[in-house]
Amino acid sequence: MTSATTGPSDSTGVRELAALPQAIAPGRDLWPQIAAVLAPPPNSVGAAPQAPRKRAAVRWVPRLLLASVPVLVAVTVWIWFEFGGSTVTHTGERLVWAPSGPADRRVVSAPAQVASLAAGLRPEVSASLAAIHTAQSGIKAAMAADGESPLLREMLASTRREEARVLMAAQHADELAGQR
Amino acid sequence: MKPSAADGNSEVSVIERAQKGEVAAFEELYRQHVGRIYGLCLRMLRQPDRAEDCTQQTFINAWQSLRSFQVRSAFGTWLHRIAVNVVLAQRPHTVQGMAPSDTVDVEQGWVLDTPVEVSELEAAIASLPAGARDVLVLSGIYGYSHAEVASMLGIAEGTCKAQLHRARLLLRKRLASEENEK
Repeated sequence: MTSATTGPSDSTGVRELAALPQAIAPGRDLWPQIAAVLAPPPNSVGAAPQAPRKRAAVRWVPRLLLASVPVLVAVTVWIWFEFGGSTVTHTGERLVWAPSGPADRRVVSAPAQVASLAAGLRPEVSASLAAIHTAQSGIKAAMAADGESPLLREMLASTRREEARVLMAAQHADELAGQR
Repeated sequence: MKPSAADGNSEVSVIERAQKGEVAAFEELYRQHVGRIYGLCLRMLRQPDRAEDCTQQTFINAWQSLRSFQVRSAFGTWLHRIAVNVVLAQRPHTVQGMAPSDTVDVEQGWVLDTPVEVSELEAAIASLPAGARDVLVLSGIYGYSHAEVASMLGIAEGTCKAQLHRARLLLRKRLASEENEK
């Protein structure tokens, strides 16, 4: 409050304004109704104003979302490396997990598995695998020009799944032949 | 009406306690300021019931935003700003200075327990149009500057000065006519 409008030099008849009482008592005690609104819920500690709490909660939400991003990325990458495009290959007595994700790691090579098959099965399996490998070579050549193409990636993954399916079928047939 | 330094320090500690959620401390602040807040609301609204409602709402709003209050500022001024906002929100949206209350008669029930001259002055203020009355009350009675009044009411400083000029002319006229009637 920096200046009063009226003062001793005011001869307009309204200089009495400044002398009017600033405070006027209300006709009743207004506090009980105010206190009823301010009263905290029974299970809360203290009676802290509510609006700032809401603001504090809103302030934390973006931080929590931000903090969750690295976790989500880590989990996604882990899932991709662990399960993305992987193949399960049956090698006789145990299942060999041969991931073919980004690292393109192969635990068991196809030629080694073909070599372990019965002699009668090998030509047919080799011919199937050769056809698949030819297709893979064509796809990889195309990917050299456009490595980001999702269609080519899917086609390559499809050939690997087919390769695994052929090997598993051959292994199964080999086991059946061995039992006879 | 300026508080002493000791009073100021005392009020600061009460405010800080209230900011921590102590309702008893906030009640202390209420007791200290309710008269000035009710006085402002009553002069702006001219209706005791509505003035009481606005006073209550002012303190509720103050409690809810108490943590944002900077103790360096004047608590009374901060409360007044809230009260003005509450009062303005109560009024129907109209062009500034042409509120419907301009044409409404002053409520007959509002009689102050004060000497006749003061009562006449209050009645003359109450008879002013809303826009002019708001400026006159904040500036003339509560001592706020044009800039502060303009900021509180959300109007231009030039408008504030014009409204004050208008209010003073009208007030003089009404007081003069009352004097002539005697």
